[in-house]
Amino acid sequence: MAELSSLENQNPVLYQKCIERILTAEDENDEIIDLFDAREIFDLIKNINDPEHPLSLEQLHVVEEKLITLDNGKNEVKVYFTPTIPHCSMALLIGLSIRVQLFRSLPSRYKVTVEVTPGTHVSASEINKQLADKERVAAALENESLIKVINQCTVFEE
Amino acid sequence: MESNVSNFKQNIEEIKSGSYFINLIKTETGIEKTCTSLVSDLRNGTLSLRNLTENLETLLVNEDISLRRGGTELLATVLSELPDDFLKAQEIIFILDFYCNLLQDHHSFIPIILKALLALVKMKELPDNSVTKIFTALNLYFVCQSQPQGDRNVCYQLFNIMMSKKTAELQSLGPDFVCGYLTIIDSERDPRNLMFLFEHLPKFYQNFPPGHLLEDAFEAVSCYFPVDFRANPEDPSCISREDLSNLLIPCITAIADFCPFAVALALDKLTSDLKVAKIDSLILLKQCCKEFLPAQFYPSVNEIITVLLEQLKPGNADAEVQKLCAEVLACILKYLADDEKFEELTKILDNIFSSIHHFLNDIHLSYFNSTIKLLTILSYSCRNASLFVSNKILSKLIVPSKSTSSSDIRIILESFKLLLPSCIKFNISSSDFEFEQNWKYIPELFTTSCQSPEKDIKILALEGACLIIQLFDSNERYKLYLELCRNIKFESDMNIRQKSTNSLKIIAETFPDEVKHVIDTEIIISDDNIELNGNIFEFWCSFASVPGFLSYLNYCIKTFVINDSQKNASLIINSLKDLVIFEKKNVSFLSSLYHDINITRYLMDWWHEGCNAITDDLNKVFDDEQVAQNLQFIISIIIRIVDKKWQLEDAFRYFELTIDYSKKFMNSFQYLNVNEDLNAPKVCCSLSIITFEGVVNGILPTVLTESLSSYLGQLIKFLTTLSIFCSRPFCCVVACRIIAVVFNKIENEVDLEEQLKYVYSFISSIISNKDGRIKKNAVQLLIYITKSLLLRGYPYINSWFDMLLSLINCEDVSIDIADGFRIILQEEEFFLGTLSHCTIKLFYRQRFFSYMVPKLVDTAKNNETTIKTNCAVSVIHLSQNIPQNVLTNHFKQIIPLLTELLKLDSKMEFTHVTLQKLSLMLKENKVNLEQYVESFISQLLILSSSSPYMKVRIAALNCLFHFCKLNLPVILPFKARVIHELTVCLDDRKRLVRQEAVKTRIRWIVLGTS
Repeated sequence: MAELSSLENQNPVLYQKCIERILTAEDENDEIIDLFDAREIFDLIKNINDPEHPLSLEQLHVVEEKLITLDNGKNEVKVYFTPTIPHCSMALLIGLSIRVQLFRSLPSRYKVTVEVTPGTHVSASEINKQLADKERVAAALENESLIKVINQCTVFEE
Repeated sequence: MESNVSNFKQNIEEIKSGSYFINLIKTETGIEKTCTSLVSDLRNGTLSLRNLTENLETLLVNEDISLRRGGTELLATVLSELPDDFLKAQEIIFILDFYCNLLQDHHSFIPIILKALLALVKMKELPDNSVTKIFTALNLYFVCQSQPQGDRNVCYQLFNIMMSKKTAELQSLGPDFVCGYLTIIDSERDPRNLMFLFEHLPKFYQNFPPGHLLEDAFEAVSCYFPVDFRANPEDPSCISREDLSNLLIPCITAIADFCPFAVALALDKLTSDLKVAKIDSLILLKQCCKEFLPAQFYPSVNEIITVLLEQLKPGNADAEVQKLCAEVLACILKYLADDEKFEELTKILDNIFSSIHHFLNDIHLSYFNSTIKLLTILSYSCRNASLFVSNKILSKLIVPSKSTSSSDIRIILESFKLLLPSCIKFNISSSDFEFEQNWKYIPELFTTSCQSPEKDIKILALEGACLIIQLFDSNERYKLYLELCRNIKFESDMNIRQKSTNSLKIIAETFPDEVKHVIDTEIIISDDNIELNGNIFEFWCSFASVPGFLSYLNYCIKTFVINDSQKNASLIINSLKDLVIFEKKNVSFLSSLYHDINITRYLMDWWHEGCNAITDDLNKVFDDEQVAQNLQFIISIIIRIVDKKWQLEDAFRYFELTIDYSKKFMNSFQYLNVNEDLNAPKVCCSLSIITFEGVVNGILPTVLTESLSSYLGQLIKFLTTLSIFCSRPFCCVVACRIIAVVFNKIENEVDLEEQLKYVYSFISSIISNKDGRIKKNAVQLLIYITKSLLLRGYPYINSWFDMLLSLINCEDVSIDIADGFRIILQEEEFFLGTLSHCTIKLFYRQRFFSYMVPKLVDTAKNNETTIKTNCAVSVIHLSQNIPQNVLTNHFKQIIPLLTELLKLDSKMEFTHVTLQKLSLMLKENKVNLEQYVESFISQLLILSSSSPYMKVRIAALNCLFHFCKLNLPVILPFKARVIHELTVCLDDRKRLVRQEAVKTRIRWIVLGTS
């Protein structure tokens, strides 16, 4: 009970989920090459669970398609995420979950950057710095209890 | 043997001396036999109880403790085997005194004493004062909880019988008895004994008021609350925590005097951190509402409400606990309403609402939804609560209701859809609402939302409006009807049209006249708009199942099919088919279609006339295979539910028509030069035969046998010719299906044998002499007949099986045979099913599978490429439709065939089918694949990264995903390899493959982690 009562944002705003990507004839055509796009990256991270609530990052508008940029030529992906409150202590964990999910799901040719949406968190620069530090991310992935929490956030129902 | 018996009889004679018993106890052999013999002697009067006890005296008062114990036990055993009307009151007193005194003897006598006392209290002539004696003796010399579980159980049984047989006598003992009994049961721990006690304690408390021992009496049961017990997980039939808890709660609420203690206990445990404690406490509170009278319960209500509201605060408890809290609140509200305490009720509702109203301020916040759910539960408790909640909600949500944002409208509609139907349950009308002007906007909201551009909002409005239609006034209803009719007529999305029709159907139950009027004025056929007419026909057909609205369908059929068949028939037949399939189990409705509007006769006559009149430039409806197929469904589904008498009438009429047609067909067939080139058939059948199939499918086997008896041979000859030589593939299939149904239903074995002989030789000759399309048609006929005979359980079916197997070696039809295995085992609802009165023997799939698989495996071994592949495909089709245990038994045999198919990636469809089946087997965890893991995973990794076909790559990844379901030690060694090799798939050129690869790779990454 104590854990539940100490939620930082007990009553967050809920948003409608976006409609599933509609399958086109091109998608099913073996001959056409499908390039990565922002929607595909969004689909990879939208179902990540919030560490505090039984809600997805999409439902809380922590991640949005419009905040994802992708450059297939340069093999670069940039994802901004928006914590629900400016002093959210879970922001780093959420960022790490997004980072890990993309690390596991995207080809290694892509350079992935995950950052807090500017002006949405009091410690944005500190969080961005930590998320950009490859060694720190790798060390976090070695931490058993941390990876357990991240797995809980990133593994979805079948 | 004889000497033993005579010895035994002699021994019984020696009873007088008593030495027999001493020897018996000393030697410890034959005691049981002696007891049985003694009981039978006592019962038939050759031995009196007095004689028995006198002769046992030396044992019963013997100084040797083991002899004394042996004697008392022998007597106790005899007593327990005597019928309950055997002992007289004096005898009972005599023996009872003896055993009560024996309690002062050695402790090892206690189980024997309990056994004897239990036998004595069961006696019908149990005299007064006897239970007092027992109770006093036990109270003085017996410590229950020091005894083993079984003996304690006997003691509880003893008390239970005493309390039920001599209630008044024990009641006269007053609190002494209550105290004594509570001492006896105090601190019982065994779950079996507790189950027994909890079952009987409520009655004890009701019959023996505890008086000044009230707190002790309550403590005796409350000490177990909440039940803390872990059942043995390996024994599902053992006592569970829930079993104990379910029996304990009625003990805690057994008497009214327990009320303050029970409520305090529940409230105390509700603050626990343990979820089970909270849940049990809430269940206890619900029970308190049911059991206790208002006078006892009222003082606690405010305290309960305060604690429940605390639990309902967001974050204070999980969803299940909060739902139970809401249910308890609803129980309390109902309790107050039933007792007409409306003032208190309003106060409580005010109290609840003031503590949660701020969660309703912003409809987008996550607690809004849970608050609406709580209010919904409360609103269904009583009329006052429903009205109160509706008033509050209307005033709270009226501002967001006017919003134009679709997300706002969605939430508002969902909330009203949940809350407002409670008003209908309690007959609340819109004039009862506090601020009627608040309500005015709601019907408009639902009505306008029925035309929302967003489908989910439209559906919410359609589903919600019909649930609260009684709250609408006549103008509001009329506006809604117009919107529903607009959707029904013009909406392009079938789902929305159906939802609108369903809403109107629900409304028609309450306002049938209004709905009739609206249909008459608004749903009108257009002369030139075919799409509109199609929607209207769909609506009329769907609406026919509403009582009182069948006439619209009748009008529709007669006006737009029979008399005006040119334009609308296919639309109506299609909608009618959907209707009869949807209502296939509604016998009364189907019967009214048959008898009241004569639908099958009209349609069959219309079809026959149309087909026979067909010329090149005439109506295309009678040449439309889809219409024909739909008509067949309609006829067979309706005819199968009518009486034999009607079936016979239809059968005779339409069989004769078919025979007439067959004569014409066979004549035209004979004009063809059969020897010329039958591989390109020229003869074509009209679709009139479809009505015949409908009748054959629907009728009972007896009707079929009776009506076909005179022209079975002629008919089979026609149908076989049609199935092979007709140039129209649809007619060939129809002919095959009719033959199959006839062979399955025909009851006359001689006729069946004769016809089968003819068909067998006919197919054999075609297969050996012809090629191409004709040969394929013969194979098709063979497949359908085999299916029919297999279902029927035909005893000589092996020759048909062998013909099938021999054809798998023919390269030109091998693939047709492989597909035939699917047709044979695949269940179809409206063809050769129990619903169509066909015979379906048990285990027919197993029979076919066990016969075919070993032979297919052999054939595959001896052949290469195509035939081998087709054998494997056949096995896949077979394994798809058989029970798990049969597949498991043969799985080892078919593994090489499966791996063979996976290697043949050049044949995409086969590899894909194999992967789908493999995925299914893995998903359902049906077969043990553990020993083949390595070969499968290797092959799947190759396919997932290098198959040229997207479908194959996706299916291979899906199989790899489901491999994670196997035992962890078996698959863990492959984890690193799979994760590494799947990185290639993350960069696949197709997005759908990448999606599957991500899902699978992450599944493997977390494999083995907690």
